[in-house]
Amino acid sequence: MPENDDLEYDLAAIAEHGHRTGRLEPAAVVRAKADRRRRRRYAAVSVLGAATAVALGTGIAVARPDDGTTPALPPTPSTSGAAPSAPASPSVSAATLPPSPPSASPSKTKARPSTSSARPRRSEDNPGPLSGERQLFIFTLFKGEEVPESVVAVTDKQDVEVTLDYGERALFVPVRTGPEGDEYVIKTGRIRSGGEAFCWSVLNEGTGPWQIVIDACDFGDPRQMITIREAGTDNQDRMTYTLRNRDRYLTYDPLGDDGFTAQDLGGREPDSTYVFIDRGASTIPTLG
Amino acid sequence: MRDSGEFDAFYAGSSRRVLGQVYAMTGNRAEAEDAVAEAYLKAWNRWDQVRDCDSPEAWVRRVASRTAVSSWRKAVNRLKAHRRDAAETELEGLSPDHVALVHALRQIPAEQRRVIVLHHLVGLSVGEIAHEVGAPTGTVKARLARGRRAMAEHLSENTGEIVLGR
Repeated sequence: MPENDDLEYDLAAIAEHGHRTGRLEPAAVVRAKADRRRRRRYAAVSVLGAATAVALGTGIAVARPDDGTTPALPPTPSTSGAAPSAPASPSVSAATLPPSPPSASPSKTKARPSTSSARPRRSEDNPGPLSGERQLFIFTLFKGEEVPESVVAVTDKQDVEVTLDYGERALFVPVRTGPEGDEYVIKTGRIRSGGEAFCWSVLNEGTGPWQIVIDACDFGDPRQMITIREAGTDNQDRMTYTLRNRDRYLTYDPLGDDGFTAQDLGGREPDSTYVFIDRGASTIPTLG
Repeated sequence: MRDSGEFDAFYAGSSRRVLGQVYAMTGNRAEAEDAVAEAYLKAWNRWDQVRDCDSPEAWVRRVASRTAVSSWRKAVNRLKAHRRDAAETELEGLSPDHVALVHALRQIPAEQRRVIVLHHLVGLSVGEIAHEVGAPTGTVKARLARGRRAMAEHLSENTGEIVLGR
């Protein structure tokens, strides 16, 4: 059967046809388009940041009491390649903005809010990040290096993505599903409906990377079970963690195009790890 | 500071080759053109990182192929493609066997097309493909086998002449 050689020859002929007849713009045009897109995105992000500053300056509550309604989900500036051509609208009303995406700045300087490392504490008196009592930012690391200006947050489409939004959308509370063990649901710290927080849920979408969304919390739903394990400390001596849903690791490749997804790595160790940054006591209402 | 001269040299040296490969993956020239343009645009926006990749060309090809198969993009591209080219005029200049092969490629799932092209056109090993597409090697082997089988069925239905191996 010749067949693989023939296939190679035939595919080469088809590729050559595309190579010869396809139309591509000059490199300078590609660069100019990319630069325009970049400027537009940064302009939108700057408007968001400025509007947020106005919102804070005029006394709009950051942690407003739960009013029993689902907050309007304003556009979130995503850093993932998943939606690079969909910049946040600059016409967002200040009143609907998340409280603080200060690092969503075009400048390369890290303008993150002051944070404290969330190294697990062993004392019962000092609940750690996995106590269910603390709300956290989740920063992403790739191959042990922190990915700049990247925090996990809920987008306006109710996906869980890596974004520039260091606001209430990026606050999460991992809650252990049993008396012990390393399985958790990850609740939204501030986004609620009818007073109830949402939980991360991994969508089963066939063989490719699986998307992560928020859904009504269900401790019995395997799509919401997130296994959190320590993965050593990073170069800032912070504890890092892997996140996994069943046999799929939650990953974010800053050079990739998938965004924040759950992937079957076929037994490989994940390149993605996460740091939990303590942002104070959880405000999620508790029963009893 | 990004080095535009370096990027331009990379673009000049690789873009048409990547276009040909993505065209073979999609079977649609307009989709391939748009996906490749999008991939290089992203590459320039992240050039400081992409240039240091093991293979910037593989990075661009990966982004382009994902762009080409993403559903919303596909829908947009189909509309564009409809306006720009009648699908069949794209195939002018190809032999009847190659036209049949393009048709067969269009019939099989995108992930199978992708691994077939990466293996048989780009010349990557199963392990290298697994790395590029982010799937286990077993999945890659299965996609290769299923894709070849499905293409063979489509080709034999249409012409009864070309038979693909294994």
